[in-house]
Amino acid sequence: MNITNQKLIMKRITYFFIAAFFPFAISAQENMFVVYSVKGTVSVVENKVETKAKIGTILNGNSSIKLAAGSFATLLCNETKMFSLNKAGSYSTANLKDSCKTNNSSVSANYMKYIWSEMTKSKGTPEKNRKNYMANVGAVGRGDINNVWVDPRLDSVNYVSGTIPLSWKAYTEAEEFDFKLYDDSKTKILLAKPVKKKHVNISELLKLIQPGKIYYWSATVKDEPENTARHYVRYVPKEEYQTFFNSLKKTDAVETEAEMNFRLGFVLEENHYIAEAFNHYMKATQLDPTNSLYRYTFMSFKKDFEIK
Amino acid sequence: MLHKHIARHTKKYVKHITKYLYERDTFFATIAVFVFLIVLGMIPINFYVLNPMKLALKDFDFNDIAYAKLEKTADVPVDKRIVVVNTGHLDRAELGFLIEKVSSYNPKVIGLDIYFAGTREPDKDSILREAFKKTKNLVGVSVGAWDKHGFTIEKNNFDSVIAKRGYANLIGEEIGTIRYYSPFEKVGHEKYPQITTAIIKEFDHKAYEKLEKRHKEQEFINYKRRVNNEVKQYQVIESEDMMADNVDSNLLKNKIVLLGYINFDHNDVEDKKFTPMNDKFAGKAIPDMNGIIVQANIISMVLDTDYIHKTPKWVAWLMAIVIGWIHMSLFIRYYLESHIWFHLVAKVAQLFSVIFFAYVGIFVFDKFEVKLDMKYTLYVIALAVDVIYFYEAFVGWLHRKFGYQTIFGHHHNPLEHEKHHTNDHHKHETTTHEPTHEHH
Repeated sequence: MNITNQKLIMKRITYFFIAAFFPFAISAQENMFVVYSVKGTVSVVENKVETKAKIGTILNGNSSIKLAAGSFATLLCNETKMFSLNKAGSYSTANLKDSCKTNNSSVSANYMKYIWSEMTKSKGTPEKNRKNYMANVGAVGRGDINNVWVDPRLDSVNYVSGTIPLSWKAYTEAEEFDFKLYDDSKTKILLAKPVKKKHVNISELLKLIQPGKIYYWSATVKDEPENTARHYVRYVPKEEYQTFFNSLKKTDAVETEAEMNFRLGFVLEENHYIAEAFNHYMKATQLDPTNSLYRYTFMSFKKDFEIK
Repeated sequence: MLHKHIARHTKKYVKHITKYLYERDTFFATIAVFVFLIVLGMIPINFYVLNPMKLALKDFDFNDIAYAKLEKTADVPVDKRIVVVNTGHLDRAELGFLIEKVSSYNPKVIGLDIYFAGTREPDKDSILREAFKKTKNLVGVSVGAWDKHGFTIEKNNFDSVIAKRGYANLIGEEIGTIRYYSPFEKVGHEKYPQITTAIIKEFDHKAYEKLEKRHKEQEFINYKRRVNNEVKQYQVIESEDMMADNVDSNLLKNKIVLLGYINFDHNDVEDKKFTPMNDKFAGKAIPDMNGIIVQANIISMVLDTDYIHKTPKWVAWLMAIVIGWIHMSLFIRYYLESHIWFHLVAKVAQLFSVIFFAYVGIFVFDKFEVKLDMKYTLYVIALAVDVIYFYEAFVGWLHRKFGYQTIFGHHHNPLEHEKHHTNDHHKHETTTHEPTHEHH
């Protein structure tokens, strides 16, 4: 056998092996996830080490992603398929591989489908088939009419301990309101009571709520149609709050006790821990009563949340 | 047996098309279509001025269907070389802080797709100026415009602190689809880059040189990625996430970071452009892509040397001639021999031809990034039927006047047709409606 023939045979054998094992090589490929965006408390667990999830964090095959209630994360699989997680819990990347499936239909196939659907679609005319032509409301939308307004700051509340008022304002001279507390389905009413004030202290609800669960509340002027807006309250377990608080507390910057409390107050407020933010703003003011920024912020905070 | 049956039928139908293919009249009727087309094109008046359908289709390109309905770019991965930071409505001071923050992540180039007209609050301007000074790898925007002196660049109060700049202008009608951009323009005697060209120069010099060597006054933009509520093919970071360090330290390192305005609200059309990726491929009404994403698409295209090639005009004309000729042959066959079926066959043939040739154009564009201009072909197919009538009248006149011999006879007159009808159409070549001088 001459050298040229030998080379040819080797070449064929190589091609055979490549062709035979290529499909396995493809199927054995691991999906790669990248965090595209995050909101709320989202962390990544890798080799039993939990770190805060950041935009651009890469998750390998053994990682998992943890979402606290009210948080969400958008992940990108294999740089192509995007999907969001919005329910609290821990998700292993191995369980997310179904979300990586892409629709592989070709442009040619889609063209044929498109032409066929356009040729066979018959909607009639507006005069003859009004059912197909009434997909519009015909008026401007302003939500449901109700005379109660809740400050957007109170739209989401993380509650750990202490108390804060769940307050509202009324556009009318109403003297009595209906307050309702719902479970996380937003439909099952846990508490319905008439109130004469424009707030209900969260401490009054403690018998009905449990740590780790989500609740919703609403307020309506008495005898008016029910307000469909539901406002979120999460009863955060103390341990979870402590972990979060410790992560906030850590800083490389040198700061005084007052500065630290002011910073913590600000970040906690941003994260909807209203009662806790109140405590830290107050501490900052007490520790440095001459600081006008602390005083002013604390006063505004109390006013915004109607804390007396 | 079956294959013989199929072959026999195929032969029969092919004969329907080719029977008159080499007739002199078929050639001349085809030429008449082109003459008609050219004459129409030479009329200096826009006849579509009050025609809403034509106005809607003015900005139409068949290839847009590939984006709008056929998911041409659905599987295109996120371009990891480019990260877009949404500046939202930050003021100048906040932008200054954002630039410094982005710079701390060590990107290779920062492209700022925002221009600053005039001065504002001095303290805020100072903060921004300081950020520009510190950020040596920043490429800014110049405002360019054409006037009687050629392309000129407006002076700006931040010029002294932004060393690298480019104009952000794109090519398109005011409310039209952006399909082209000009990589360079001459400003005085200097070659001035478009902002994407200036960014690429800093990021990948080889890609820049390739672009320069193409010597194109304008390039087609090869749109491959979009960013909206449903699809995100570029990494977009909100400025708040950036400022709060919610970003992995490697995400921006050695990459191109584009700072610009992005919004996902359909009703917010600030800095949004119409592109071929618009969900409406005809009669586009709402712009679909933020300007910064258009620039990002240009950068991706140049970095990948993934330019769109357009076939020369002569190819488009040649295709139109060949396809028009074949159609003309088919139409003439039915016109002369089965006139009762002529209009039905012609309409069906036109419909299927438009579907088929539009598909050919889309297929070639999708697979080879080559834009076949099928416009002339489709015009010719559409006009051929009407031109046959005109041509028949014309050759009838030529025959009466000069004895011109033609295959078009008196097929409309059943009596005459019967008298002269024979399987060999050549036998009634000289028949006319009113024979004046027979010369067989």
